[in-house]
Amino acid sequence: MTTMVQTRTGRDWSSFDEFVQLRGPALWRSAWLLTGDRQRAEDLVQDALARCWSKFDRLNTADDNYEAYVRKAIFNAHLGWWRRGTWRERTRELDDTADLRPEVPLASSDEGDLARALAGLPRQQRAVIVLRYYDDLTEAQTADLLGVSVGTVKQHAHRALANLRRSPHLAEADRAVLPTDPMEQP
Amino acid sequence: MTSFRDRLHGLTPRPPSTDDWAARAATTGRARRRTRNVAASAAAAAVVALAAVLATQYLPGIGDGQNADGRIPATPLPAGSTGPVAAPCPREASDYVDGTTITLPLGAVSLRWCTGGGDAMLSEYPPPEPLTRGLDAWVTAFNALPKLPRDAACTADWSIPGAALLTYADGTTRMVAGMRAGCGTIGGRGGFEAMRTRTIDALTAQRTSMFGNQAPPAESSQPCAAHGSTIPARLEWITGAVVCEGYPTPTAKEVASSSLPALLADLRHHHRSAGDGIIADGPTMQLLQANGEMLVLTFSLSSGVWTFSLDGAQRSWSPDEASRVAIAQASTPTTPSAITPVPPASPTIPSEGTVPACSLPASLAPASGLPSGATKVWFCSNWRFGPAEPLDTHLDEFLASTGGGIEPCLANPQDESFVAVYPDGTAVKLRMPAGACHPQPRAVTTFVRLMTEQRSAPGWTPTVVAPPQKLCAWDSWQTLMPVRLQDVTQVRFCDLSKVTQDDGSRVAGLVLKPTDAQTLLDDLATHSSPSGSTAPSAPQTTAPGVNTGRVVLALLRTNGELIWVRAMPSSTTALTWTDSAGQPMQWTPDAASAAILEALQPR
Repeated sequence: MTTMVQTRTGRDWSSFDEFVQLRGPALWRSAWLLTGDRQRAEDLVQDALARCWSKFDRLNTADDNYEAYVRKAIFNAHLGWWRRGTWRERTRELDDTADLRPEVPLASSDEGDLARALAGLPRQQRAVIVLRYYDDLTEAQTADLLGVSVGTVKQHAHRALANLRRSPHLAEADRAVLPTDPMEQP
Repeated sequence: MTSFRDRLHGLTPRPPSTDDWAARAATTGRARRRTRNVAASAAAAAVVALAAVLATQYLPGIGDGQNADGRIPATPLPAGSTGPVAAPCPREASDYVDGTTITLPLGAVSLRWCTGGGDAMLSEYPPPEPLTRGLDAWVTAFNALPKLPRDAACTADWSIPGAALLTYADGTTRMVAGMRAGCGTIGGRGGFEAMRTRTIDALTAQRTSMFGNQAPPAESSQPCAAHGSTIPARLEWITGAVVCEGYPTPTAKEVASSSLPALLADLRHHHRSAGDGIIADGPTMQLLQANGEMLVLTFSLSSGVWTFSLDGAQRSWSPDEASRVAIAQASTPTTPSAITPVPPASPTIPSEGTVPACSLPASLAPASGLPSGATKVWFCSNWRFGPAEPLDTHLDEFLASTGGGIEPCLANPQDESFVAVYPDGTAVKLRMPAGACHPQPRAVTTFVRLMTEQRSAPGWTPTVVAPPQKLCAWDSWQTLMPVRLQDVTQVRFCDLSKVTQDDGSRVAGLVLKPTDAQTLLDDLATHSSPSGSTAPSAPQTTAPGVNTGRVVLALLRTNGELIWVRAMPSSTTALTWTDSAGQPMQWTPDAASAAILEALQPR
């Protein structure tokens, strides 16, 4: 969880190389959860790093949180990639939820069920799930990163969790650990 | 304890090496900066040109459908129409398909918000009256929405289409349509949700100015034909309540008007914030305003509470006993009124909503059970498929089995029932409380045994019914009557890998070729063995909460009864099913079956 604390509070890195070396794998994992595809995840992170490289000196402070900037570039690129329609090139792979299945041996097949359930979510709902519950951002941070309102984040999270709960692919163990629906909190 | 985040983390593969990422990013970043500098001067010129185009487009009058991509033909009102009234909403869902980018002219005299959809699960009751105020501001706001790029690709997620139908002073109409999901466009512009909200707010303000704090006037409506209303009903304006049961054509059962005030008071005083994990998977209850708008409550079969949305927050309500009885006694109205049941559709697998006798106006059976003398008895359920035909033999034995010990239980929507029909045409309903409330379901056991005997008589042939269109999506439903493998006539492959995309074959299932189906059935019979679980001593009486295992196959009889074959959560190869004796079985497909199943997997 140490890395997540860094994400929330920001820190200054000694160099761009250090940032990529230490945070690259975590960024790639988020991108993989978004896309379900190894190569596409790497493309997204690489593209975002190239875009943000020139901003490193200016934003590499504890206040500005350079990682949040890179993360925003990743998510914007992913959502924009859908909007541009370039997904058509890879329709077959996207339709095959095997893309979201783990490529390493699983402890149990339950995890495969969660992957299938996640693959069934619309892209924006999946983005909110990854940001809120994997990258551990607050609702406000998620809203800022996606350029939407906090209410929209809550709605996406609510619908995503409802879809996951309804998903026939979800094992009991996964259903039991689903987070509290933000719309159902008093 | 494992957290959700840990579970997500466990899904991700090992990341690739990042050794050269920084160097590659720097190289690409430098190259892009050089390109950007060259492009900057060209972009500045383009901005100037774009500003000129936009200024032309938004000048009053000039944007009146004249620009190339904004032109839409004005549609005249139907013959016989008099003057600029609000045109009616189109009925066909295809009319709500979002088209090219549209620019609307000012000067509309009315705006009707329309919703399009298919069955009740996908339709919404729109505001009955048109908006007649502030229309130029509405149009201006619409025209200012950003246009969607022509090559935009929008996913076809589950969503209710909506449209604004504008009528102009000369009688012509223009419609802008879209939906919340996908790119969320309306009339080819991004902002469906914003315009929908703006319309609802304007209509609410218009109502307040016209009627003050009084309910809007009555309109004819059809309860249970929609799953909600664009503008939710207000609790203080409720004038009726119906329980909607059955799928795909829900039946509206009216709560007695004498019970309504107490039920509403109970609801008003005893709803609370909905807790985590309530799955709203049961029937719905619509609390109706006179104008047809509704507040929709959905029952949770597993939690036993009703859930609903109030002022944007999810609430739950556990009715008191009087309210439960009022809901349980809701019945189909016997006299024509604004509340009418949805017309029955073509035959489907029998359930509460599709067995006509289950909707009969029926008196409740006394605590001692069903009276003798019935000529037919039907089984009615909201959560499993019952027989298509009534029990009409051995009736004395069955009726005797229904006596005693049932009524003290509180009523719940997952309760099942028997409806007995008598020679004079009257019907009596015996409610069968669900779950632990009724530990000895002797009547259900007896019904299954006697129905099996009835079916074994010479000359009996199963009633041919069609399975629901969304069969695979209803995999939590069970079949009351046991099904033998030799009676199976069709095998469907259920692919629910993308449950949010409600697209035909996935939820209907792919029908296997007869040769492949026979191969699987033979293998199933040969290579199945009893699993660790023991066979239940009596039919299940509890509504299913959550599925265990993903459905892979549906083995169907011609009468719609079926066996689900599910993937085991703990195994990658073995599948489970339940035989006609109720014994859970485990099946490991042989090579030929595995090849058939593999070939059916989505590519």
